[in-house]
Amino acid sequence: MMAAVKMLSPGAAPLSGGGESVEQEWMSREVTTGTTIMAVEFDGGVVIGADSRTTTGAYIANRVTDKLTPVHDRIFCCRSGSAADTQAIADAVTYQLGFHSIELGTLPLVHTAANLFKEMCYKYREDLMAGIIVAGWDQRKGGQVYTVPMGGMMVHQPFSIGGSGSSYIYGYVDSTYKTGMTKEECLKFTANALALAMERDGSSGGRHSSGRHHRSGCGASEHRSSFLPGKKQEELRARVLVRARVLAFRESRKILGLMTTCIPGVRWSRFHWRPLQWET
Amino acid sequence: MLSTGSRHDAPQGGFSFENCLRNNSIEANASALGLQPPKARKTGTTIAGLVYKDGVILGADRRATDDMVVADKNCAKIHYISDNIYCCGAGVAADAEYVTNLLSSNLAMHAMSTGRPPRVCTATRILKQLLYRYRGHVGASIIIGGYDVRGPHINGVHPHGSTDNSLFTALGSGAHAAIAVLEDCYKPNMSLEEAKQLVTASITAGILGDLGSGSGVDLCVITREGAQVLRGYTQTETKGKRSSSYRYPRGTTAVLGETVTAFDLVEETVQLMDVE
Repeated sequence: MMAAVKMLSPGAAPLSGGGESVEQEWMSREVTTGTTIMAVEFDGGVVIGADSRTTTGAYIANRVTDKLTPVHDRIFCCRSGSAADTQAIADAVTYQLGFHSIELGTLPLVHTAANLFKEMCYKYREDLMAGIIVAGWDQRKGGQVYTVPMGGMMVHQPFSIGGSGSSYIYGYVDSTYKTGMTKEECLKFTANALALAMERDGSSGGRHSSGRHHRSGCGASEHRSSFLPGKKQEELRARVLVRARVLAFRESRKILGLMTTCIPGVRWSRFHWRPLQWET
Repeated sequence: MLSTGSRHDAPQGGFSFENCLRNNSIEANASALGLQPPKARKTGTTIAGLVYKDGVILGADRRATDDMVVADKNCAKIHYISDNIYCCGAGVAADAEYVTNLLSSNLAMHAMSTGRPPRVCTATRILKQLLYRYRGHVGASIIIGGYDVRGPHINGVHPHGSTDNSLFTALGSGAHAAIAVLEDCYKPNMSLEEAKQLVTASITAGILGDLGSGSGVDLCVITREGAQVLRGYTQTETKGKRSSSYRYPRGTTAVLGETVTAFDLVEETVQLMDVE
């Protein structure tokens, strides 16, 4: 009501520079995952990785984001673009895929998961800002990586990079990737590529998190590592947090979720310490 | 699905967007007409929340602003959601208020239909799905904190419907200052007193560093046993006290002389008026 009255009175001009101190632009800006994400296939599984930064304009809304989102026991998606959009899509696909899996009575195919993402991303291509990499393992084709970029295409690739930081590392990944890499080589490849991207891209950064999931015994396993980007990338500070063989994947995710939010790799007293600033 | 209605039937119900056209044309010519489009009231705010040893603590400042005017010097930004869940609201004041009321009702009904105390993740999901539907037009930034069967939780919800889960977070226009304090001093498993002090320090940093935040700190402590809202935990801005009186004492002006004149009554007239 107040506002309507104000609109009709022509004299009511704002004080110069008035409201700006109260209302900054980043408050109304959408939360985006200015991101580098990556996934690589290897024999028996995939390695997925992402940086951990979420931004609203120039402000880091969350520096310990988990952009590796599970959609099923052995299928993950790496999210880039609008945080709200990608979370909503991932929620919807998680529901659809879970339902499908119950009807099927077995674990779903990675191709199916990717197809569900594609359906949503294509149908709502005008309204969504989402670039997603779907990666996982299934009985039929083993480890697979599918890319669903903005616009809703779907393509199978032996490895894939995405997000704003990916443009800095196309050269690196194309020259470094070779077929038939082992799991360890893939982990190192992912870690190096992400470190390079995080160093160059302003809106990617923070702590890198990479998860590996593949077929091992009766359960899938995952590990995450935190390390320094930049020149010290060779001294990867990899930390294996959980390596469970029998533990159900959802269970280990739950524990990992708690642990990653605690970031045991970073000492609390130096929480604000950021490697990039420290090095220069 | 087969449409049963005739295509010549007049549309019934639903929304009418005809004012959008009018509004667009007004907005396009606003400067020529000397008008300015109305703005929603945003509360310059500092809100924060953290997880400590026995539960969570939410904190908020007490200032509500309308442009450059302090509209309320003692407003409550910590809202009740359920007995074990509270939330702090920032952004568009009306949106934050209504969205929390709606969330409270929906969550109460959900709790009744499931027969269990509500969970923080449920509240977060209801809220994010509501906000996502409105694509950022409902401009509420909210921190949800609570204690449920899974333990203590703090969740941040942004206006476009994205959420994040963390051990501590701050939102609102004073969030830069508040988050800096939290980032510097937060450690896991803090005692109640330590945690209260940290939240107070972070909100106070927001108050001092941001013109839109002020007055003082409200806290809300939620543990397994229940919640306790500490309204007016600290007061950062108090009315200044006059160090001395500005009144002149009696007798400052000297009385030089005194004259009393008596008037004689010459005539007295009384006139009656018609009053109904």
